[in-house]
Amino acid sequence: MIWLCAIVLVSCAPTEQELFDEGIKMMESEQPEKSIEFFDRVIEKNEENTAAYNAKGVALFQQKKYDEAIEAFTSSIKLDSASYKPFFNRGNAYLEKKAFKEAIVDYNYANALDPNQTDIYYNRGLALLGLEKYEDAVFDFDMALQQNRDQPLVHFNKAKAQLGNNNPLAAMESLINTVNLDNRNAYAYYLLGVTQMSALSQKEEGCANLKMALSLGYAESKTWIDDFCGE
Amino acid sequence: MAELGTDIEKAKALLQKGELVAIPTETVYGLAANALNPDAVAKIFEVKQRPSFDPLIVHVGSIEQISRFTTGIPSPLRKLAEAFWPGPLTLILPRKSNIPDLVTSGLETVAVRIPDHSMTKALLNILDFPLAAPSANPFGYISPTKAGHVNDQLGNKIDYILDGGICEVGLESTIVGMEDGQVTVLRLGGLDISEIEKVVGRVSVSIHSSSNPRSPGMLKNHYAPTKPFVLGKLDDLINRYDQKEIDFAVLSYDKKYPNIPESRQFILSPSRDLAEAAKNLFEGMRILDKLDVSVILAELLPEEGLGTAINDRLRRAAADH
Repeated sequence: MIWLCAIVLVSCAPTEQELFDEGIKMMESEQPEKSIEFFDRVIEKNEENTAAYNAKGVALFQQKKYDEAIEAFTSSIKLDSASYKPFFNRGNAYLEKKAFKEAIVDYNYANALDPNQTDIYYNRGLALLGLEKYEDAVFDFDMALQQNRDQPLVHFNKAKAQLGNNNPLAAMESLINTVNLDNRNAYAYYLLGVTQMSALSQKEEGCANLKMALSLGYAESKTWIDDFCGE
Repeated sequence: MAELGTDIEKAKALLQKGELVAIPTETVYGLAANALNPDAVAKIFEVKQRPSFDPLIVHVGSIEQISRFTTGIPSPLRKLAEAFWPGPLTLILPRKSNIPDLVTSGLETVAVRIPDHSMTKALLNILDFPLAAPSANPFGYISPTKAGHVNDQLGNKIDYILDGGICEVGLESTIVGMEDGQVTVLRLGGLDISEIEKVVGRVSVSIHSSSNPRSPGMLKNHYAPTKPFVLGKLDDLINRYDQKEIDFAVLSYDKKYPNIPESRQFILSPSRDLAEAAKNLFEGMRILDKLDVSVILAELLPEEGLGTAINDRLRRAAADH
């Protein structure tokens, strides 16, 4: 009888770690709401479980509840400011809210804590792009590419920053890298085509890329093709 | 979300304040703004997030209202208006200068029609300005035929939707203008050419592809300066053209260049406001194009929101040369 109670008690009172693991499982099976219930139970058991706050923030982020996510990440940071993750995550929530300056502050902390995380460079590049700090954005995208050149989105956003910086020649190189790595990016073909035509009068190459963009579904290319690519 | 209703007085009040209101027409819901107010028209492009500027069709309640913003209706086109308005016919007419460039994409003509929807006609008849109204959907979304569609797609960006029920699913309007003194069909649509010819006799047809009619924006060539137009980093371009001793003018986003005569530069928006830049774009190109210079130097704007459409126009100007 005593043994039975012990078993029941154990099964009725999962440990902090078990609850946390269950929450992670829920998050991985795309059930963020349920996962939050588990993380809250972890926090009830241990108000200083920084990982639970961070995980709860990620689940809230998945639900696009960015303000609540920022709150959760902040709680995590207050308990332990040695990990880059909650800074990086809070930066991402700020980025989604287009609060670019706040995002950059967090990415700077995250980067100082772990300079080897290339995602931090890429996301900080996006925030800098949002702030129209094009040269700094190009620098961050280059840092991300140093670790791995095969990242079409990084090349693509680098091209956007170079266009913002009014450097069409450099942008064309980045756009070529983008479409070489991802031949489904219709907008990249479009930007490449219009840049070739407007910056270098490369009509033949430009028209070929605009036609590629159109074939991939970027309808806006059609007006350019009609206006500039007549036989 | 936006409020749905049938209160045309409320719609009128919002439109008078320069706000956008979704209105029903016989084909789709339109995103309407005061066509004579450039700030209101800029909002249309901002909300629709189109990556380019296209001429907008201006909606009126009666033929008489047209004289306010056109220099007149050529007689054959007036006959067509009398025969087919309200209905799926859009006329291309010579504009007056009170129509903002953003409505016409800098062209010297304006597209006009009277829509065949009782609620919108009632609204147009109590307004003392016409309405520019492209379809009320963001770029890349299907055209809305119900008030609910508009609310789903743009409900967080506009305050009011005039709920006129379900739009009859129909073709776009047929667009007709005058070319070389001839009545010319520029886009095929809901009004058949044979009907038009019954009223004005034989017409010309000038369309790029009957199976894929071009939007009103693409009726004619886009506006572009006649002078060579070069895009790039302005500081570098200015140095280069200075060294070559070539006369130039500068179209800048926000920066003033102290070493260049003021008359040779046009600043689109000193405060880096994309809506203001959009509003000033065509005027800037036109003013600089009239100067006694050999080339216009310009820079791209941030590639976001209205900046995308402005850049499209700048790139077209550069690609023309």
